[in-house]
Amino acid sequence: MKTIIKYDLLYFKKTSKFIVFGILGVFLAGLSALTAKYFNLIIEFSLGQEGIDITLPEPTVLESYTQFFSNFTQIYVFVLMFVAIMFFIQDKTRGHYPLLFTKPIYRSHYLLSKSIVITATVVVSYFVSALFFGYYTYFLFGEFDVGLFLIASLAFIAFMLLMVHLGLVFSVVFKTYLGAIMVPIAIFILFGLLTPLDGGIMKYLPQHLLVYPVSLMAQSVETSVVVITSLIALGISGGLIYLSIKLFQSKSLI
Amino acid sequence: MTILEVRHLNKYYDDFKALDDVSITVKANEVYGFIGRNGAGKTTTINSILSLIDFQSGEIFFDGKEVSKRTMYDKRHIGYVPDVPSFPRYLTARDFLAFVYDTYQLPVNEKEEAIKAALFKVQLEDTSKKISGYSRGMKQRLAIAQALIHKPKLLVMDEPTSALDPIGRKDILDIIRALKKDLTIFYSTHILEDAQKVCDTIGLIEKGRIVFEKPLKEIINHQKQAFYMETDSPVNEVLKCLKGSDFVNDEALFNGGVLFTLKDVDKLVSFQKYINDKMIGITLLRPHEKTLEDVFVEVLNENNH
Repeated sequence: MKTIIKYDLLYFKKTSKFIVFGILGVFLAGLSALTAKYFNLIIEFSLGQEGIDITLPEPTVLESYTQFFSNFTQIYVFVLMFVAIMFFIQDKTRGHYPLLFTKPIYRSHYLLSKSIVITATVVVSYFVSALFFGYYTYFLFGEFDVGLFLIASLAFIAFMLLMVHLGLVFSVVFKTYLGAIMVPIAIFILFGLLTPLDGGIMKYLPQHLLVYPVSLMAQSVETSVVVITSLIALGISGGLIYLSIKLFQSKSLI
Repeated sequence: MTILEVRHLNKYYDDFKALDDVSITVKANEVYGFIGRNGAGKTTTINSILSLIDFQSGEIFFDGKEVSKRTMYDKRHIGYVPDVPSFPRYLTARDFLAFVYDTYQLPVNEKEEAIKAALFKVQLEDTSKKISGYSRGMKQRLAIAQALIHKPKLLVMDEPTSALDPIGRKDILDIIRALKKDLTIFYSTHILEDAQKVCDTIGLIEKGRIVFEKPLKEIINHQKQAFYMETDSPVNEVLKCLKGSDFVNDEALFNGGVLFTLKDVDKLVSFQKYINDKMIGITLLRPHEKTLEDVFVEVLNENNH
């Protein structure tokens, strides 16, 4: 297991994916705080040039949180899915399986390693970005709610891991990158459409993790609901890993 | 001692029967040539042996232990060289060999020595370059090096020379010759000339069925006796004459003379008399040593009739 994790980490290191995730995350984090602080000023200035005199309200720290989670949902999650699915499926599409699986490598260890490495990448790169965002937000707005932001981050990470592990299942099912990426993206879009359904136990369904981080920062949703939904999403991710392993073990490799 | 035994293997791809009751026995310390046309079932058999694909029925034993995709004993003791090896392009040869070595959980303090020894065996020296910059021949050498790094009991090679130029092919055959002293090699190829150069035993597969499995010497010696003949008459007339005789089979023009097999070698004198009676003067008559290719074509023709 240690060996295959080393092999997977080598991929991230040698192809500079670690740096890509880090730079993207930090860039989006900085951009979020800046946009929140100065977007109204930019609009006022632009409209003023056109002769329209308008005064927008002073931005609050909530706008910074909203920008951060929007940017991460719209850009970071997509990049993550594209990279993660490439990472999962490339040994198959590039024909590495015959050399890999004629070695004493358990198929379960192979997939677990992929899951561990991508989870570590998501968590580390997210928290580096979040740290930068927290510092910059505090610098620009003079306040930052660390406790709530940590819970919101847990929810957001749980959502990202759910999407990544959906990708893992479809990387096992499909033989091509395109096939493996299309279904998780379709599910992601479907999740967006299903967020209004929040009555009763529906509020615990994982698609709400798309909006819960912002709602939590605005204190318009109970913390317990966010935590339970996050744990459900993590549980589903665990189930998806198990399903991937079972599917992988039952399939011919070539 | 038998090191690899395949018993009654059957494999279907939907309705197509790719392997039909395939049984193979590979003895320790021999080079087993697994020959057959493209699409005959060689790679499917190898993929089954290596647990890369599932099969519908049959059993495979390596060193007395049953092989399946969950067993690790076979994976620890078999080295595999694919026809067109594909490596992670971002790694160097040294990186890849280190990874392969680690998968076998061998002593860490012997790793560098093992990498050097494997590279030396295949004469691959520049290991600082990324694999993406390697030629086909270099990749094939690296494939052999990674298959040898754990000192396997059995080396499975799936058409290792098929994608190489003549020089690369010769180099790989030289490596096989050097390796055959120390380990058992299961060598699949459709290049019969190569098989004849290095193999001890031949298994011929055709349309998913094993046609024969015999020592190479036995195959060459026990086939119907072939002769090459030159005469003072035009070859076409000689050929026509042979066609009308009851003595010969498979007559054909060959290097300005005629190649044929006698139905009964003991009737060689009678055959010569028959030719003389036709007013044809024999200037040269000698046994023609058959190549594996001759045998291959002959057996397949018989098989198809």
